[in-house]
Amino acid sequence: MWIRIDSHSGVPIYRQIAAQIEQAVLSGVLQAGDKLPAVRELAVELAVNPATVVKAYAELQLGGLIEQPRGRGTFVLGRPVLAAAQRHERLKSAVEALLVEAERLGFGPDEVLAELRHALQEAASHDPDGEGERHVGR
Amino acid sequence: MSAVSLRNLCKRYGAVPVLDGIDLEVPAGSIYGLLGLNGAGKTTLLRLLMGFLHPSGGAGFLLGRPLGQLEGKERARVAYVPEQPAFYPGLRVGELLRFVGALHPRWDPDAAKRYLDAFGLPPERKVGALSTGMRTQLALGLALSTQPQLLILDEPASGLDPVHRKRYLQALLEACAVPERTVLLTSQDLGLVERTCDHFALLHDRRIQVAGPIAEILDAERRLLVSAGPSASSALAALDGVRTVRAEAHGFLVSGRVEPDALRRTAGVMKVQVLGVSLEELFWDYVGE
Repeated sequence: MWIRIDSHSGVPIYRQIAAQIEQAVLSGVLQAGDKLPAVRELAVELAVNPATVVKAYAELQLGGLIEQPRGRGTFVLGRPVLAAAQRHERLKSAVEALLVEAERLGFGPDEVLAELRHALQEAASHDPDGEGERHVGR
Repeated sequence: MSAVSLRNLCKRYGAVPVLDGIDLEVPAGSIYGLLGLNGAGKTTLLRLLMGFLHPSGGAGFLLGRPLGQLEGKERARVAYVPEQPAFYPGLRVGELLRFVGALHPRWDPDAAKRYLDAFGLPPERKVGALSTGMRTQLALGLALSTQPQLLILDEPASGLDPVHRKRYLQALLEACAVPERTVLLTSQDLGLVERTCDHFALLHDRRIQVAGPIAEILDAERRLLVSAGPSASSALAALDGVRTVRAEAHGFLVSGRVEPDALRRTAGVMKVQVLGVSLEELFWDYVGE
């Protein structure tokens, strides 16, 4: 099993599971139509409470990453199409984390902005198809 | 229905109170973790449930029957695994299974064989020659082979290496697929409880300090790092839902059922950072000095 649980990370276990599956979908390891293990099966495999897997799957379903047609199992839907508000929320929290880290390291607003501009230019120059923004977003 | 229901349960050893007004509901079908420090009274509580000890006060019910009044048929639906199970050391593993199987009305010989295989327990080995880890696994295998409706485990998986521990917990979780099967376990291992249980209770200072569904409780709990001058301390402590306010290098660590915005609105607060909450932090909040 490629999913790993860290009991001491302070991150809720359901979120650890959801994040690793999301990562696998985003990186293309899991593709649209792939079947995920049944709740019980994954719970036993990871030695976690089944309710935790239910919660992880529910979060992934809410994010549009998987679907769970009743009685047929759990399937990957492909790369997520997030609602506009949700996309914005995620970007905001990523930026917040960046600002906290920058402040901790003693960088001022101008330095953060310059670094961001630089990173965006780098990404754009590596990606002539103009998909750079999406890659940066991840 | 609750598998276990305790109301104002008390236990004194002589004049020394050990448990004082315990209220506890263990929902049927749950995996319930009872946490507490050494000597908190976890084992005493289990022994009261099993009828090995008599309460000094209050009432308790096991599978709907008053404590100590379970009849044979009901008693057979409850399995109890102490922290250090005692076996006849001269019996071979296979002989022990036949022995227990002959005595127990709900014994499932096929399940017993499956657990023996899953745990890699050699049937010809004398029980006295088994390692501690093997004895721990044997005890779980025996308990599960009696198809219990309520399984009570005292410090399960303690003393197991990571590989055997995982196999042990997997067997336990697999066994919980049976509808309405309830597991009540005690542990000092916060990671184990957070990982395998869906409910928990924290026993400290002779009482249950906090109890309920783990996910719900952790969702509602916040741990917030607040930068503020020393004068903000009392205003923070007075906020609704705040349980502890601890001084840190540049402000306070606030915990409780409180939203970050309530802190941001408090006079003197400059910044609020939301930290993760796990059972470990909650445990320290209640048990810490």
